[in-house]
Amino acid sequence: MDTEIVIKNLNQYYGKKQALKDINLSIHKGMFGLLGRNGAGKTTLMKVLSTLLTVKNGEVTIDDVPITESKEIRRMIGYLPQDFSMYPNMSVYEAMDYLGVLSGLSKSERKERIPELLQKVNLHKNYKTKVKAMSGGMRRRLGIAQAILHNPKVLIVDEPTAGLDPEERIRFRNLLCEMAEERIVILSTHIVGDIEATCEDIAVLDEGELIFDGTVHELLEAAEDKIYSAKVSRLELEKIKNEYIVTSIVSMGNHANVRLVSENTPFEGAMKEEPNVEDSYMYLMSKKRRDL
Amino acid sequence: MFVTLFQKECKQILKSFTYYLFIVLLVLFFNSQLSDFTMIHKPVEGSKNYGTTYSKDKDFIMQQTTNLLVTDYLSNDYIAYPIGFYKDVKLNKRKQEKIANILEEITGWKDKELRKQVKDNSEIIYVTNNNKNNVKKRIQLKSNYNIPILDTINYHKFIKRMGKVDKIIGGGSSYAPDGIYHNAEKPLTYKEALDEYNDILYKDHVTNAYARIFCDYIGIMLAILPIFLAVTRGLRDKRAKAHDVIFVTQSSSTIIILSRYLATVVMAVLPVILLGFVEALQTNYYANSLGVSPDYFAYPKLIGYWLLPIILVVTALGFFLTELTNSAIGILVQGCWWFISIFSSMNKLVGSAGRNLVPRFNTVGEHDEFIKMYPELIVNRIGYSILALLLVIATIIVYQYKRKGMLASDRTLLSNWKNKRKA
Repeated sequence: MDTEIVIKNLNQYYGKKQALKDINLSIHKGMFGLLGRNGAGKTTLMKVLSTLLTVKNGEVTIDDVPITESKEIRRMIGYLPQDFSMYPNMSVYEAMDYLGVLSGLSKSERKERIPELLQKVNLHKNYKTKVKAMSGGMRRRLGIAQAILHNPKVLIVDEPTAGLDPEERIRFRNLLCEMAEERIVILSTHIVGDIEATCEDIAVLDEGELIFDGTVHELLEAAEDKIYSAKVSRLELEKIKNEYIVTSIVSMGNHANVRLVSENTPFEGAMKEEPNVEDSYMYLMSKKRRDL
Repeated sequence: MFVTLFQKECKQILKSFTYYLFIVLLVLFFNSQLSDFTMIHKPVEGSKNYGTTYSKDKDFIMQQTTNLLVTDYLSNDYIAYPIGFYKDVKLNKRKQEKIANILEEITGWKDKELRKQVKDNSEIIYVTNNNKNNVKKRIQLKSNYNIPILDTINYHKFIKRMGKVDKIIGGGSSYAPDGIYHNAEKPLTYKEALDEYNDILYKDHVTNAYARIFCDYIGIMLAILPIFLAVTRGLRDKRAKAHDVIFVTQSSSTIIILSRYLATVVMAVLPVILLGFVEALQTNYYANSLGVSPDYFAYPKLIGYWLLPIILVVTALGFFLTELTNSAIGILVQGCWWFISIFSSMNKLVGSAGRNLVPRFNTVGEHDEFIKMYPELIVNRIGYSILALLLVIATIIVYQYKRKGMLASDRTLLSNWKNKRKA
């Protein structure tokens, strides 16, 4: 049976402030992207799924096990927090071994799993490297390795590529895709490129509300015929930025190529374009603001 | 899982700078206080001096204390050690009147009569003022003169009144009920000195007498140093930003906290055992050289029931406050507790346990005094061990709350509370 996460009418509060508003979501095996601005509620949702926040209102289950059964749920999930680190004076192997013990693995299981996973995340030559001496990218890879140490059904990854250089980011995304062959991988990010490159299913959160739930294809479809590009004078740029959602500007001397979101042809000379995920995301956000 | 985690925690402590600082401070203190071995000598009959002791004779204690109070009152010059520091006290008119009333209750003499009686039986002396480097005038009773005490005043009533006097002076004075015996110093007789010597040899087997003073000194350090180990361990997750990763593991909060706590306790007690072992080698040898078979278990026994509860409770308090507040406030709290404990027992350095975290027995010998103190010491130690257990349970509960997101793991309690109010 495929693993399934079901979220029903989830409302989450910090004091009186509502961080998640009536979320309904179903997540299946593979990469699942959770997109939204900073403060949209992504980390709150990730923390609920990781048992780091108690569900105040609503229902969350993983394979029919209620999230309140934290002991059972922790067996099923692996978690890589936004700013993962471990004790700086521990070596890579020691950190894995320590977390392996905490995850209930026996000595023989740890002996077998740790080298295998470090090989997988390309840290097999860094057994003795201290955590404090690791680069940001190496730490994230260690984070992934520790998160799947006990072979969880669900891997929850919060903003994993922030601060990584392009090469490390691509390597990391590929690694996540590999992980997603056997389990659910929930990738929370505000970087649209990460979602575009890895996820089939996505959800978009804004101010605690779920404003989109579907496939990347469906998101693109929603912005069909709404994306335009035009070559405009640099003098007109300010006016255009005030009137439309501009998704990109490429300067060329006194002119600039702009890409923008518009329900209808914005002005003469503007040409319809195929939307990409970033365009569609911006369209979705602007539509929500208009609806408000 | 627990044993492996415990071993890993011990290994982590072994890699910590704080732990080596803990050992260095402990050893330095040990060296400064206990490196000179105090030999015991069999008294020789006919010697001029067999040393001094504090009299246990209640009448004598009452007499000496009354004599002292009268001269302090007439000179309006009292000495006190509130929280351990020397202080010259001069009372105002109202407070002097209160002292006069108490003296009247004890002697039956009003102020006027008292002054008249003392005038013919005293002299003026000049003494150096301890902390001002000047000379002050005091009244001193002639050596053969004692202030008469009313027959109706028994020891119990007397102690009660001295408690009041101590309160008027501001605490820590020569009239504090638990230290009043200090006023009744007297020379030891040959028989008393011999009894004391024999008690050390045959009741204490030499080793117990030395183990007690070892515990007395080391207890002072153990009432403060383990807090640094506990706070360092508690804050390590926050500083390494490792708390969330550890929170979502399958280990129970009980296993996580207990393994950390017990590892800290064991690592803290290890250097104490080693120092005790070094001391025991010396005292065992000394006992043998005096022809007495030593008590080989004296040090482990006393470290176990005297010092271990201190480590247990100080570490537990450190764990609890650090988990609760995500800050190093435990050091401040323990620092205050340590200060109060040490200085509140300054009046009685031998045989004081009470509710004090650091029981004092700052002498080699006085077996009978220890036997008298023993039941109080055991109750005290059991009490602190129970307190440690309760604090550990409370730490586990706080940790469990943090794992569920009901308490923040990366903010101090204050900012946590402010955040909740803002929200």
